[in-house]
Amino acid sequence: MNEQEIIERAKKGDPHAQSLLVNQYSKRVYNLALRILRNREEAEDVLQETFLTVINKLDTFDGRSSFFTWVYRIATNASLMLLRKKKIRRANFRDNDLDPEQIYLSNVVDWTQDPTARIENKEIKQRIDEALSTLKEKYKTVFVLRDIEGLSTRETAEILDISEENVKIRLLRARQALRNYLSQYYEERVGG
Amino acid sequence: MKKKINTEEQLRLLQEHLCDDLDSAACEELIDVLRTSKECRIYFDTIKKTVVLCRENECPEDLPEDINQRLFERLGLEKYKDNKDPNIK
Repeated sequence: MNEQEIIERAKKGDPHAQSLLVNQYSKRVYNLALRILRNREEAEDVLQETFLTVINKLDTFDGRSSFFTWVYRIATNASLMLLRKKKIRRANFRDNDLDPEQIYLSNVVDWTQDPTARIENKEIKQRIDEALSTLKEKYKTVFVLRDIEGLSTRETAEILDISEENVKIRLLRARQALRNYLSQYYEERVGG
Repeated sequence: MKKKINTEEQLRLLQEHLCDDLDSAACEELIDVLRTSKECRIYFDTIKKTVVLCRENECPEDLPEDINQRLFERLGLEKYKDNKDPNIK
């Protein structure tokens, strides 16, 4: 059976076909939720909610988008709903980090060649975790879908129901904010 | 004191390049900008390095078995949990 045949059978309630779809996408959905929510229990909640929705609403899937995009849209929406409920405080992130008008050309050394700029460095890893945890949701979601999940601009726009231009703008801002956060760390090291 | 990139065109070029959507003529233009501005090059390199570090930090995890088990229970598909072959009915 190819995926289209599996989907058709799953729509008719075939548990064999439904389980195939779950096994095909569960790992990716779990990781997507984990990256947005940064919490394993909540990622599990999203995983369950996503596949309950997928199975219950399978008859509304009309094939205009790919099945993968449809599942990702459901998972992203479920993650965002949970994220909004949490009302995360972003006290650690200065407002100007996310200001698109402020693209600082730091005078610090080019830290890309610094031997500590490696993910094995616990301080850098912690800094990235902090930055991703506190990044505004609309920027974080685009960053996760485009730069971490590797989806195209068009797929990301489709999943989030925004324009491709908007995806590009949000992605630029997300990258700038994250870059500024890491650059501050190196400025402090050089200065301190 | 920090300097800002305030040239709309530079910003647009950087943005489009980082989205991998530049046509070749615009790409040449970007390279020229980067050649003439050390700050721009550092900005561009640090953005790229940031993305690489974030990607490395976010390696995909395997779905834990207990989470998978609970998922199939919630869906009422426990009997089919290990069903991964599309040709078996």
